[in-house]
Amino acid sequence: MKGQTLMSTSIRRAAIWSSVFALMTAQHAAAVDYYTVDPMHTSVVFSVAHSGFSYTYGFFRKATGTYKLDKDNPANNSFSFLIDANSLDTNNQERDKHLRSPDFFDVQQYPTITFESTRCTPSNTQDGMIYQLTGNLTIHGVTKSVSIPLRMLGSGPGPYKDQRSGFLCQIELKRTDFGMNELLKDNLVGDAVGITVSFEGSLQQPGTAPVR
Amino acid sequence: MFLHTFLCAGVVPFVVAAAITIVAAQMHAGPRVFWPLGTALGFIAGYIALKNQTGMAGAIAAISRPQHAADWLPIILLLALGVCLLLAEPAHRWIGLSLAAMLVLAAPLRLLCGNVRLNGEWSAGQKLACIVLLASLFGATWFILAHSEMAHTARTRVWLLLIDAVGTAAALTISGVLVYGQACGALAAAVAGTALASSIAGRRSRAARAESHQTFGAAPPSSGFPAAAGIITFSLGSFIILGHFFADLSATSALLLFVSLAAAGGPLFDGLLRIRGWQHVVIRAIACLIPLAAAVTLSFG
Repeated sequence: MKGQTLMSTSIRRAAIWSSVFALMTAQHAAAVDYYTVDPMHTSVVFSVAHSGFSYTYGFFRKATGTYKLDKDNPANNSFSFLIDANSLDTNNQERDKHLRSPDFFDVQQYPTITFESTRCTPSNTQDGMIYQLTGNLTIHGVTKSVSIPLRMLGSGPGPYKDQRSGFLCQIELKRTDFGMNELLKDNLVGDAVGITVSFEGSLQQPGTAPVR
Repeated sequence: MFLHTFLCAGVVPFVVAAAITIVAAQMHAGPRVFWPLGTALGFIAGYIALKNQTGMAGAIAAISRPQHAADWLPIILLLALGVCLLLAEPAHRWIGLSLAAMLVLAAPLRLLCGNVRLNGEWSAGQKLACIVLLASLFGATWFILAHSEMAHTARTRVWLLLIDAVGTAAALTISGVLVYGQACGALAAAVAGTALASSIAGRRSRAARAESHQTFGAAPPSSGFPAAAGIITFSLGSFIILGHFFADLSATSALLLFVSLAAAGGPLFDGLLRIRGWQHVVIRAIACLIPLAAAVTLSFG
């Protein structure tokens, strides 16, 4: 009898602690939202100088990604992007063919551009919430650690009866850092490339990770 | 930009090829040695000069740690040079042939292993068929270019080969990849430098022998160009293949460029038609230039 009483007490304690732990985990899981990037409302635009006379602009038509927003701990946020390098478009077929060639993006060897964040430092500024992302950017087969200031533009119910959040970032890179070294002489095609990315994400089922 | 291209793809390979050829000839090396040596090293020097956009350290890094498919070419050409020199020695001929067979199989595999089609899109059967086909193409081109030793056609073949290299450069540039076009120009300059230096070396040799009352019985130095067949096959041939798999050079244009190359340098008409003199020059020129012009025209499409 005494042994049975001790056992039932232990079991009860274990059940209580398990419940508390599950409740804490569930609450944390509910605080973490997973989003899938909406390709139709994502723009990846780049600009590069041409002989010092003008800037040529282009964009990538296909970009996908996912990200995670942790309401309780924004430092836990993470972002992951994949851009189809073959989808570039500068409104000129011959130039696009040249950009896809081994002279630049070499898309037959390096078909994708990827970004995986490794650290997120949030800061609340007068312009709104800005996440200073550190992560690995891979272009042209070369991976570099970059720092990207990502500004949250908005968050809330979207026009498609879903929960959405949207962001904007603007950075400048040197293409030679990623092994694109052609046509540098006389600044024919500039080394500095300006990149603007703005995207929206649609919230997946609360607390569940999206399928990539 | 154009001056830079002219210097790197023209002057550097020409001067390096000529210097190496003259030095090798002075050391009593025959055309079968200085032709592949001058052509290969002249081309590699030009390729390094073209890579020197961000400094010599970057150029050397590109060659020693290849990132692009084309960056493997200097290594492939050095291997081909070794094989060509072995083939020039009758005692080592069988070893040379065995190594040549391995190289024609390994080279397309190495050049294309980073391509998305071979990495993921194609089935295993398609990949194998492609590699075997390209290896056969390399092997056949090498055999055709190396086959003939007919001295009277040598000068024509060298000139047509130069035109073919320039035409291939044009086709590749039009198909969207300037780097390959510049590199083909570097090969043309290396061949030109070797040819010029070999004819200077040949004249001095003839003059020296005439002074010492010896009969000059050897073939003109330009006839050693078939010994550089491996170098020409793996440089021009590789760029044609890279142009198809990594740029927009169509399969038809690529095939026409190979046909033009074979017609420029091969013995196709020497044995079959037994034509000599100006008729031979005209027929060979037609056989080379028509497919070359067609390939360049198709590249605009």
